[in-house]
Amino acid sequence: MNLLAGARAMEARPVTLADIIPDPRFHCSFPHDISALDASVARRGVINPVWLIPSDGKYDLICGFRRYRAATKAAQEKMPALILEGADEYTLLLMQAEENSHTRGLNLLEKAMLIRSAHASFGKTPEQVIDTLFPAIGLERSMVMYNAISQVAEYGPYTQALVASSGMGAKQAAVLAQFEKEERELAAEWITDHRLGLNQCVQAFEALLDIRVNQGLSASEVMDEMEKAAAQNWDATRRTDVIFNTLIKKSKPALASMEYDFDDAVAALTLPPQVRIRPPKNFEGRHIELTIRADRAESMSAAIAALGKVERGGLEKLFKWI
Amino acid sequence: MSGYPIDRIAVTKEAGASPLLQRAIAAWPGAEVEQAQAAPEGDGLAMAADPVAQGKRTLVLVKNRGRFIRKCPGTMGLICCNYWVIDLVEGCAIDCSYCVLQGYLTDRRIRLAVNFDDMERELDTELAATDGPIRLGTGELSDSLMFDHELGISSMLIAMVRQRPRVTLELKTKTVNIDSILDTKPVENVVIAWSLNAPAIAYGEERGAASIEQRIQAASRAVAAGWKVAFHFDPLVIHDEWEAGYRQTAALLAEAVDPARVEWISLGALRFHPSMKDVIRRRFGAEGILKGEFALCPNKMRYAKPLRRRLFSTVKNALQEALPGAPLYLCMEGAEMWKAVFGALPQAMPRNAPMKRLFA
Repeated sequence: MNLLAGARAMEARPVTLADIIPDPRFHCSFPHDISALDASVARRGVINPVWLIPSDGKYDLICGFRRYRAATKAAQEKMPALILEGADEYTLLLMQAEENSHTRGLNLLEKAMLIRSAHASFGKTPEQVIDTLFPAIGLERSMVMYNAISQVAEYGPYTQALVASSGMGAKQAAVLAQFEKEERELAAEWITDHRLGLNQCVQAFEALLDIRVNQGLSASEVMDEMEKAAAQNWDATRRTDVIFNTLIKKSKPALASMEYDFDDAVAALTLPPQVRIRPPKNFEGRHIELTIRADRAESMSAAIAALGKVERGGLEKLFKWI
Repeated sequence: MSGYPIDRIAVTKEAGASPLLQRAIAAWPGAEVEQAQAAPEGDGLAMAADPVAQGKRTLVLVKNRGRFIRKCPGTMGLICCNYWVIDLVEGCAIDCSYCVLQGYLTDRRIRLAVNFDDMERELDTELAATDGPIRLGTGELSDSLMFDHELGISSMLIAMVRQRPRVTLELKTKTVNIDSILDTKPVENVVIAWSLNAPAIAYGEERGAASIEQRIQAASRAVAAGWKVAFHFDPLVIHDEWEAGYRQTAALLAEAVDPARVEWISLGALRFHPSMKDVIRRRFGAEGILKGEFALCPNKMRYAKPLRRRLFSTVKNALQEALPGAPLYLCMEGAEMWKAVFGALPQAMPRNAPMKRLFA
């Protein structure tokens, strides 16, 4: 790729912010959490020049949207800029995509927005996008990947924000495509409210989908039910834990039933709290795990003594599924 | 002809002299013939909306530089049936929603290795290093008979094992392409096997496969012609009215096949690598084969244990009633499931001698 994108001229100089107009075709910064950059720009000003192209006596911003926003927020009058005249605009899109991809990394939503822009604003076919934009942003040539990522650009705002903030990859986000738009938005808003991490976020969507497929319940119905499982006066962390675990159990009723049975059988042994007995994961495996957690010899001795009194029949119930 | 379309025949320089190339050209006269690209991307599959489906229409003839024959690796902690696999063909013309090949193979095209001589030598090496019998088949990464009417691969394999009685060759299929086989005299150490399922699964999830009735009719013809047969109920799938569906297939078998000619019947529940979920959803939707309660165990998604137990027990009972005395075994299950379903481990089944042989 030509570094100048075929530009007739290139000039670096300060430009008044009022003369800069962000060009949405080149915008690929989602979400707009630029607090660290804000502080830096407020302290030292913009260091690296943004990229501009002349347009009706002013300039269109094509690379440096976050720097522009930070400079605007810091009420700065001017910022350094690289002004490119006569450059091929699509090549500029590719250059700024590559620049952003290498310098800060692009999240899935940003990649989706770039694909949409290449297609909708620059008239490129899917094949052209795959051949030109994909290598610039580190994606393998694949129509399957094109279809998977580009649909993220059509999702609603809650879903998009969740995709961007959680750091979902294309494979993790694939489950989102299985929901109708409204249902997906409601679920995304609910999951965002509960501040789930990336893995939990994906598991929650998977669970909602499984429940719909296997039990015929909509995401809304399930979310209402889950909210009732946790008291409103609990702190947020406890509520989220209970809601998430209840959701996962609801999506796997056979396993949940086994877990309840197992827990009941363990409880019937009346062991001291420092003794923990766990089944193999998903009850697949041949061993039950017994742990004694003690910080003093007396405590460990008491646990061992209690174990010695357990009747064989009680233990055999634990091995029902093992 | 079997009716599986091939649009392109790609051949490497080393495979160009194989008679299989001429047979392929004659079988698919409309197909483009070209020199094979090293990477699958060279054939443009990356730009296909469905590379899995597109890849099934390209046949690549190659010389296999690696091993042909390997012992099925099994899974630690699960009981292994000591099966051996011949990697002669990789890829399948049939498009089953649950097929592991959708995610397993990096090359989506159907690759056929043409250097049979090397395979034969390798088999002799394995026989020399092994005391007991070897039960092997080509149906692990493909359907053994999908192109048999066009390419006649089964006759070459049967010729290979005919003089090697310690080997039992299994040709596993979802087709009815047995005409070439039935034209020859039955061979004692060759078993023709059909993958079977409930009719609704065969109809809805096995694109391009013969119907259950057709497969069982073909098995009946094979038995009548003196061939040994086997059946694989794998994957067993929990779906609407699945009990009735599997009983129906068992009843069809009872009407058509003499149990004494059945060498073995395997039962395996649906299982897949977690990454397959997205491929299946994308290609077949979320409401079909993925309906059910799955759990990760240990590196594959399977039905939760109580569901599998009920599934196996129901199908086992139906088959024992339909084909009394036919040896049954579980594929990829642990000791606890064997005990729950059969009441014993395979070695401890006194009246099930063939199973003892398989699991020795």
